[in-house]
Amino acid sequence: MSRLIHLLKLGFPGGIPLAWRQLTAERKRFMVAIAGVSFGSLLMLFQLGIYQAFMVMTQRPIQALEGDVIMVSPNFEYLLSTPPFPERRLTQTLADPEVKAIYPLMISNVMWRVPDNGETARLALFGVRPHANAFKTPSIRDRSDQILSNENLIYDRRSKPSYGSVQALLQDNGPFMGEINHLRVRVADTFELGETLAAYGHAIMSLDGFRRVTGRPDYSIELGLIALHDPKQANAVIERLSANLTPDVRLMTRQDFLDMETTYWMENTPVGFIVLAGLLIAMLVGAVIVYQILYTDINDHIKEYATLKAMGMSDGFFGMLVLQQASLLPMLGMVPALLLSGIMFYLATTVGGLPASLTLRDTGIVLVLSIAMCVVAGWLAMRRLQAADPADIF
Amino acid sequence: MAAQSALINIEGLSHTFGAGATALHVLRSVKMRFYPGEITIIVGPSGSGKTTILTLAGALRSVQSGQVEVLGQELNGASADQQWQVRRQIGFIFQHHNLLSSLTARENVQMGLAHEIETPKAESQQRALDMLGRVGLAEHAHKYPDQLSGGQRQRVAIARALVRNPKLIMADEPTAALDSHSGREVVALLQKLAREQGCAIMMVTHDNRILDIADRIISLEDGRIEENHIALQRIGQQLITVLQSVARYLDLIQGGQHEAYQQLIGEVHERLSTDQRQTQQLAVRELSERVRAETDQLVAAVEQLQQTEAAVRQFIDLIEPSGLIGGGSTSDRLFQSLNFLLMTAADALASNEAEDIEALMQMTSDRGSLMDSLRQRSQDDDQSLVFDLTIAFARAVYFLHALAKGWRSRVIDTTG
Repeated sequence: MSRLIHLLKLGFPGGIPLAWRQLTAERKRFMVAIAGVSFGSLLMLFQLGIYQAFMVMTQRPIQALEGDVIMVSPNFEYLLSTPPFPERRLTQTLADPEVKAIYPLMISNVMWRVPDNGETARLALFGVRPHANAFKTPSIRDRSDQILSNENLIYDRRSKPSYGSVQALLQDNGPFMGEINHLRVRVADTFELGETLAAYGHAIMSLDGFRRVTGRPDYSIELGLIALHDPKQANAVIERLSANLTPDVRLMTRQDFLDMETTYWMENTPVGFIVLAGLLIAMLVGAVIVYQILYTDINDHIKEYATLKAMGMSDGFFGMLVLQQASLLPMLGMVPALLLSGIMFYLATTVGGLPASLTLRDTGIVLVLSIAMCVVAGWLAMRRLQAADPADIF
Repeated sequence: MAAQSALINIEGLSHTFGAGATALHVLRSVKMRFYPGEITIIVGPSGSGKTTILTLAGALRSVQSGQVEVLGQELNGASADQQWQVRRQIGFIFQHHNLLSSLTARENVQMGLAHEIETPKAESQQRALDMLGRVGLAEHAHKYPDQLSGGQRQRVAIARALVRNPKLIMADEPTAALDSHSGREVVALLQKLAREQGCAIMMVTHDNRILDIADRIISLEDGRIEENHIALQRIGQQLITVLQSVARYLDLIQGGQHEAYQQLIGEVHERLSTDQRQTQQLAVRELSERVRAETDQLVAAVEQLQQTEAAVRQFIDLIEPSGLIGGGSTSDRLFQSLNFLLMTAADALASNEAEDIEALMQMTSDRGSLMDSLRQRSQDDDQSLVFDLTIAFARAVYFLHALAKGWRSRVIDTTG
């Protein structure tokens, strides 16, 4: 504590905010410095925002599902690529008193005939039990009746626009006949989910309808969703159930399932790498700008600093001076960076369809990273100061 | 009187820049002392090593060989921390003011106190303001350097150096960036403040116009040192002024101005005791042979002048109550004669010409023999008064003679 006070006093000689004065003495350079640091921070915020958007996208279908405990095949890759397992396994879990309800879910990629032009496109099709709908999102659950008939299908109206103007067709003509895997289906209604990295479009049918269009046998499912009386018991239930389960299925909590999906996308696609590289480049750009500014400042005042050095000011004094300057810049630069990124994210969401948003967590990360980058730059610039020989000014 | 210890003690100092065939030996076995309260100017051509001495003694450069003891700290082999400690006790003034343009005059002066971490803000501000007041910039305390003139900026730099109450000020060409008028002003101010605070100044300069503020001038050439004690010359000048004042004793008595006479005695005594103190302070120092001889002569001269003054007063005490001045008598002739001698002596010493001093010596020895015959031929009523007066007169003349003799050797020494 006393060490801290000592440092503070070093940083404010005679109560004068020297670092601030030196930083702001030259308006133009100060503005350039702020702009530079803002630019770096903005790049970082944007990278993190994009990352966040991808996370939201990949998790969107899972977030819409029921279940505190999830049952999947041990060979699960990601939501749209998971081998089926016998539905009996799911039914067996009802033996546990903690289990409140179970929801089977079938998943498959199917060929969809675009109603507008007859072209085919790949669609992710979910099969649910209408009376125990695996989706809890109201826009799906409330339309459970629409898929009672195994001929019917409900369509994700936020699918890629080139998949057909289903919404408009429904509004104009009411339900119409479509085609999946060259079999007729009746497009009855729409729901709202949104694109993911794995699929540009989604549709939902009943389990029977799903089996009809995919030709799948009637005893296997891709996902079993288990709702508990008390969601907090998830781990205990998993432990109990796992003891009696055959190895063709595994159980996990909802959160683990979400994490697994995210990990797959971050590890097996360039998304994670691009974000990380973007962060590093942004930091590098910011650091170079800050270094340039601090170095120029020190260089321009080298005679004055050497004079202070001759007068007996310690290295600690100069360390505090540069450190203060280096940490003031990112804090000031954060303000315009936040404003600009807010605008950019708004545009990304409304125009680009990317669910990007500015979070407190990202702001904190960026602030820490930009302070780190400025301190490194400051430390490098300090070396110029250490080279200042007080004997040279005589 | 106790020997005065030196602020800076340089002994056998050598310094070389570079190495091998291109090595440049700037200083070779230099020996120098700097004493408290003394203003020393170091002159010499470029490359004579004068700035190197300043940077070495200022703990701004590491000592290669030899001893440099500054404010009680040996700098040869001193750690970085010890060097800082020494620098913090020194006030530095540079060729350029090197003020921080982002700080006001007051804040710049506060930088001189920045190393005193525990000094409260209010105290630091007050001390800076007081110091600015003393350099005559109280009204400009809130201004930034670019709102001040060159001379004012250098005065701020002086305030910054002095605000830490240093025992020692090191100045490198403080007038180089100033026109002659403001340069002169700045140096005079520096001298005044240094005298007030009793701090020593070590100054390197090319500027011949400011040499007269120094107590001592050290010339460096090819590592050789020439010392010139301006302080000794100044004391010599002061002694002549004192002698002129003693000559005025008689005028004042003749004009009946007793009050002015008493006042003048007071002034002369004060002056003489100051001169005595200064010469004795110098005499106990370690000085070069030539300066030593000159100092000894000055010490003697002060003593002789003191005795002359005492003899003149004794003479006045004898003649004044008798009311014999202006009566054409023997005593009156003695009075006129002494008056004449004192004025001639003051003139001869002031002119500093060997011939004048020779003439004075001739005159004083003549008067000695004159006295005897005068005393015998005297037909005055008051024989005993004349007797006493002649003795007092002879004493005064004797000491004047001794003073002239000492002065002659000084003149011959400095011209030869």
